[in-house]
Amino acid sequence: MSRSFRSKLDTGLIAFYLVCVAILLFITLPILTILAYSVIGSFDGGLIPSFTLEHYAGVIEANSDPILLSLQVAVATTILTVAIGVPAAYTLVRYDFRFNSVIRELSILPMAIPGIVIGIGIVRVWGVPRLGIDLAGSTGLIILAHSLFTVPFVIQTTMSALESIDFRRLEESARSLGAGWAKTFFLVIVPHIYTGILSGAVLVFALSMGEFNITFFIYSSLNTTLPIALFGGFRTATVGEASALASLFIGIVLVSIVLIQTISDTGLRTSGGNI
Amino acid sequence: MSIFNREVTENRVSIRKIEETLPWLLSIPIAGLYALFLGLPLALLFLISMPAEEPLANYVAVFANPDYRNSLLLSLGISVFVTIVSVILALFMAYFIGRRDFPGKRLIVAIISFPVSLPGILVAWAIIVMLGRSGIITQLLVFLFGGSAAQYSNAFGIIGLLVGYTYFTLPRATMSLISSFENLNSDLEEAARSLGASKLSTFRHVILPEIAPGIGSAVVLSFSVCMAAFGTALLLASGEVPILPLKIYSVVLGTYDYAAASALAVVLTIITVGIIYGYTYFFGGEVYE
Repeated sequence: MSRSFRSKLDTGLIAFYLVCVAILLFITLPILTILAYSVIGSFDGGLIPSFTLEHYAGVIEANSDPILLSLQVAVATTILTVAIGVPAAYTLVRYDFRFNSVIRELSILPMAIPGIVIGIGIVRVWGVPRLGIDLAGSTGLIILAHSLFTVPFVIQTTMSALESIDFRRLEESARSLGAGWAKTFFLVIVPHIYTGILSGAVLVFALSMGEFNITFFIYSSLNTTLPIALFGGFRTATVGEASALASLFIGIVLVSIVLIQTISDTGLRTSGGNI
Repeated sequence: MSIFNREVTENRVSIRKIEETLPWLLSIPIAGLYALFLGLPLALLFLISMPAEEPLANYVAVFANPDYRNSLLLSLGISVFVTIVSVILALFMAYFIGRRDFPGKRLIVAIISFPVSLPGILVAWAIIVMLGRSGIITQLLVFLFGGSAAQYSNAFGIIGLLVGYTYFTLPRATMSLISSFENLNSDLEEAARSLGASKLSTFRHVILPEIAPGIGSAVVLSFSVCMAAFGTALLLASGEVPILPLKIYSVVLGTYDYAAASALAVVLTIITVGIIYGYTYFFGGEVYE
């Protein structure tokens, strides 16, 4: 192996590492900039900017209603999606029936259809009272729409958790000891798959907190969620205030990623959400 | 005694029946959710898009009206461009994470997966603090080369849009490629190298065929996310770059022409759903893990 070949190889390797470092910078720099802008007082004056928490105090006070509503919606969405998604995933994995694979494929539809299409469709159907139910502009409609958009994530994580354990053997031994279906499910199956359910739930919480595309079409001025307030804030607030509001979100996402990484050893692998 | 036995058996049978039907009963809520909040809305949009007098007129307009056609082509062009850039960059990152062992790997994975669960409008704000008038890159350029911030500000418009979409799709593409690289048999690569194959030809003939499914799902995922993007574009390119989702929004808001907007929405849905299910159907690939 000639010397020049070796040095050529090294250049290639260095270029490779440079690209990776550039990508990591590209991902982290905007986040760090937002965090920095959120605590910087003013630019004028010396080279060292002043530190302040004023922006946070200001935006939390001005946006306490949207923050509270988003937290409530996200909690309700998480509970609802786990309650309806986990049994559905169990049915799909446990029972072999006609159209099983078709239903599996259909279950990811809310991820595949653009949020704006779902949003306009929902507002056309439920923007007026139907079947004697008036959901227009209600928090309930936002929760239901968020549940539709996020439930595929619970189904996916629960199905892969179920497929990774030998649940048939577990079920049989529980049954032979006299446990009924409910007892078997909650006391034997769930403890084996709760990490999958939990990481799905954390993801649902984060996605619901950040959902914009569907909510934008169905919210009313009385039901403004945090991303909708964020949208208005980015257009009207100062850089510092908007960055403080954005940092609150970064905090939520950060906590949920740490949680998911702690819960499951594979970390966040499910891809989804929309922009 | 015999009567008692029969009762026990009958009870067992009825419990058995409940147990068999329970999972089905528990699946009814989710079926209702999908039917009422996905099926019904989509069906209604489809119906609105085809008025009785001229059922296909709105669909003809999508391709014949230059305004709509340009939006469609613009969206396709932007999505193809961002997908290519994201997947090429993701190949580097995924190779690095999937093939190398180093301390702090979990941290790198966490950093890369960070934008995946960021809301789209936050991505837009991230672009504004980078490329906007008070963005740090803009300020840096002003500091280095002089001039005004407006000269270098690129956040609002096509460049901001391209960077914002890449910010969102690059991590997704990386995540779908990491497991492909992790499952790659390193013996193959070493064998090819020891037989004298260059790095490039090893990649082309040995690695590429192995990771093709991962690339496929990365491409499909990035492309469909870009086609569907709305919130980010609304903040960054509203009135500047008329991509298809923004066009749908402006048709709804400006003219209340729900028939035309529904036809555009149906076309957009067919594209994103078509590419995701087409990939699964023809290549057997899973887009969402």
